[in-house]
Amino acid sequence: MTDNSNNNRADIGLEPLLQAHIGRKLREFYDSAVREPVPDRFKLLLDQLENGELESVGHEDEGNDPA
Amino acid sequence: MNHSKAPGLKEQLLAEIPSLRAFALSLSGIADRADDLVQDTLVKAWANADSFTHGTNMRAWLFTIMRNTFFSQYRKARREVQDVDGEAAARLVAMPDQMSHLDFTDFKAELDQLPADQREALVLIGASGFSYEEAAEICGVAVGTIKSRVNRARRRLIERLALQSEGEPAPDVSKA
Repeated sequence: MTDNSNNNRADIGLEPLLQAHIGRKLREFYDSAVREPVPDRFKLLLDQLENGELESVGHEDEGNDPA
Repeated sequence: MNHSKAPGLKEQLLAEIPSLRAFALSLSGIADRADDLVQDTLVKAWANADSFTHGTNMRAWLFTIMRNTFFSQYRKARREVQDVDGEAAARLVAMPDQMSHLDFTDFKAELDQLPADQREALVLIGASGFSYEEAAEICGVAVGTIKSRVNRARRRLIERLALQSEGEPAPDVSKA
């Protein structure tokens, strides 16, 4: 019983802290992904697109959805 | 010639790649697959550059392409989320003693356990910096739907956090 009321009080007090904590963790994860250097494959890809080497690929994916 | 793509499109896409990679990693969880998703998105964006309205948010446009690509692949692939969920839960319950403080052992792993639609909403709002209205537009759902997905994601993460820290001595019990 005393345990229960303790838990409730803890929950109420912790909730905003946990929310903030989760928010921080989320941004930490995301920002570290954003900061990663862009792999060369994407620069090459954009060069190929610019030179018209991959023009057709983007169109062929609609329409074969089995659902 | 057919080189009349919007001038500067290449540079604009290049500038968005870091954000695209972060969003892709949030969606798919596996780094290799995330970069494949970035690649598919870039190719589609290039092919459909006409559908981008100048003066609007290019990142939002790209994110829309990416998440639509992801969810159509996702529906086809039907990853066995259920199993993974149970395994991870078992693992976490088995080792609560190792948590020395109230924290996630691996936040990314916890994020990956969320249902994909909730994870997407949480990331768009909590990390990518989009408004609820923008996120709703990107996902093609109502603003209220985004809000409820974000709330459910947060609540679920809080529960996981509590679960992980269970079994530790309470930080400050004034009994002694």
